Amino acid sequence: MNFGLLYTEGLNLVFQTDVLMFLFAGVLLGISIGCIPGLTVIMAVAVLTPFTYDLRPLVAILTLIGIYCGGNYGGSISACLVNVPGTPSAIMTTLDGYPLTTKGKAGLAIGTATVSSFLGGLFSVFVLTFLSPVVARFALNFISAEYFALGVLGISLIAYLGKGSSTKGFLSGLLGLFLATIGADPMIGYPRFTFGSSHLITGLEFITVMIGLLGIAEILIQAESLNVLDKVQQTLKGIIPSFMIIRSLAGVIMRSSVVGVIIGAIPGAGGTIASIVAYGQQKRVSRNPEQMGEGSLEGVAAAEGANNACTGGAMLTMLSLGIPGDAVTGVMIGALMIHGLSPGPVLFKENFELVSSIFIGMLLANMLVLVLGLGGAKFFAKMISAPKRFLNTAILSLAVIGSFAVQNSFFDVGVTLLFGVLGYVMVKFDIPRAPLVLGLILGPLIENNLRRSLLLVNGDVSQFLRTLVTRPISASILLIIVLLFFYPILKKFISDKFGKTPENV
Amino acid sequence: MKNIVLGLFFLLFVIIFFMATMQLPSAEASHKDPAVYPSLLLFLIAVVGVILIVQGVFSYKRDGKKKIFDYGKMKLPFILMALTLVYVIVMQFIGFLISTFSYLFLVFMAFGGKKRPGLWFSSILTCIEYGLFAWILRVRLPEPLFNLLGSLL
Repeated sequence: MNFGLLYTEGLNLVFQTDVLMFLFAGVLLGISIGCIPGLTVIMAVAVLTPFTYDLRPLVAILTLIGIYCGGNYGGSISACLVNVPGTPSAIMTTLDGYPLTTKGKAGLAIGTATVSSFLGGLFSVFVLTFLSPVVARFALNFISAEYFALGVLGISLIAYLGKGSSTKGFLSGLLGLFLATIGADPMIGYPRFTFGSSHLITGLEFITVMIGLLGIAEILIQAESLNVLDKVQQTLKGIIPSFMIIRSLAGVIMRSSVVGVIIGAIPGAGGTIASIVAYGQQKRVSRNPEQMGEGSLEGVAAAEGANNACTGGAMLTMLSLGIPGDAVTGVMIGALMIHGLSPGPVLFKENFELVSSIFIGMLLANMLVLVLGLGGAKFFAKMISAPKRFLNTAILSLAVIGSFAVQNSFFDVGVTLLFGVLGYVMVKFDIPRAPLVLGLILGPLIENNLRRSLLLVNGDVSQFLRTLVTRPISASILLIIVLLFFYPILKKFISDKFGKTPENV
Repeated sequence: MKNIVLGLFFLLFVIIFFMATMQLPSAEASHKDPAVYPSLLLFLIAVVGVILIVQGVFSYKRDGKKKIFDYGKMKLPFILMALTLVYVIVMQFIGFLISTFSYLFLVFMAFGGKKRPGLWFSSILTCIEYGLFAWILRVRLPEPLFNLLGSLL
């Protein structure tokens, strides 16, 4: 594997009309959806995945990456203008973005958020580009017991670090793992839990489950309160921040980007935690901490730099290990699988050009965020107060037809509706949905590697456990899992110290 | 209360699926037995279910008989799901175009829209969706009425 080529191989593949067009459309769509409170990036990615089936794998994945990067940034626009974060990760942006708007500096707030998002995203792409080949090369030497441990770690992390109660997060992850067992047994091919249905022999169709769980359920939740936000009264002026401002914020953006990449790479932690931590850290090191929360540019830059830097972190674990960093990258794994590609170290070995193209595409997506964000701010500001009934109706029907289009099957539509209801009920019972997504993705990886490891030791469980604790990698992973059980104590400590946790935000 | 209901639901879930695992063929070697891994997961789900019940019992005094669902708020989600279910069933008999137009119009009205924009919106979106799925994505959308008309002509 010549890693040097990883940075140039995809150039001619990315600079093609259809790729650039879809990437542009993805970023535009992502920002539009991200800036409307209630419409989430994950919902957009889940509902729009079936539309990418007919596209070439590279075009498909870069469209989704465009939505991902654009959506993460889009949340900051409504956070600054109407004090409502478009995406959960923009929560900390409201603290300083909205006070700036009330002082008549809405343009500056959005401009700073845009530049910080761009720089944070750019930094994360560089980290992704340089670290993921190294991690992938390292992961090529993993044996099945280590992959099993890694899968369990992914589930544990998302259950413990995600939103809400850890017990419910764990329950959701286990449910996902269990649902992944539906279909033919991977070793002997005997059908499990299919209840006589031939549709279930190949298991639950991942994308149809996601459309229901994340798309339809979200619209049902939205339907409970259809409040239209106030029109943005202020004219946006002076959107492009001066060089002096950017230079004064360079340190803030750099620090928060490092935080963002590290937290983004941890499955389940995500942009919300990253922006909270980066904001807290900035408040500690700032020369004017008393101004934070009153309309400080440092606050906007710290929050936005961190939550956009998460994208590279999440893509790092997804591409190099096959472990999604968040629910969006989970759906992306599903989308890649549809095109016959499975993320992980082997992808680096066998699909060199694709990986290289993803790196370059992410770089371009972040540049588009900057251009569209600064150039289209006035247009996005108008979208915030548009009546949601048009969009909600369209999304609901696209979700239904999209799930039908996956395999031309009404059975799939039934599965989507069922998971739509399940997702809605999960929200009502405060059960996070992201661990279920991760469980479904990691289920086959965990089961196959567990059984392969047992096969190697002739089914001797004690010998398997011995392998797990004696191999340095799996032993370290197990240690982290054990430490995670003490995470609630740590969470309480963070809550006492900073006064904010993802839950109360 | 929520946790108690949730815990009990998952215990029931475990019982049902545990019975289903009993129907699976067994093998002497654990790695070949298709029931071992799902049974392990069901066991863990049962453990978490019990933990939830215990948590629920301890928080019962604090939370009291707090309502799990606010049924007033759930009216529109329920209407939307019912409309969607009817849409999916009806589409198989009357085809994509008529059913989608009617569905979009009814959903739009359910969201509090007005008749005239609703009619325009539903017509335009039906055409867009048809073009997108049937022509661009080449999905064979159900059109039994058109097929019948075609065969008659």
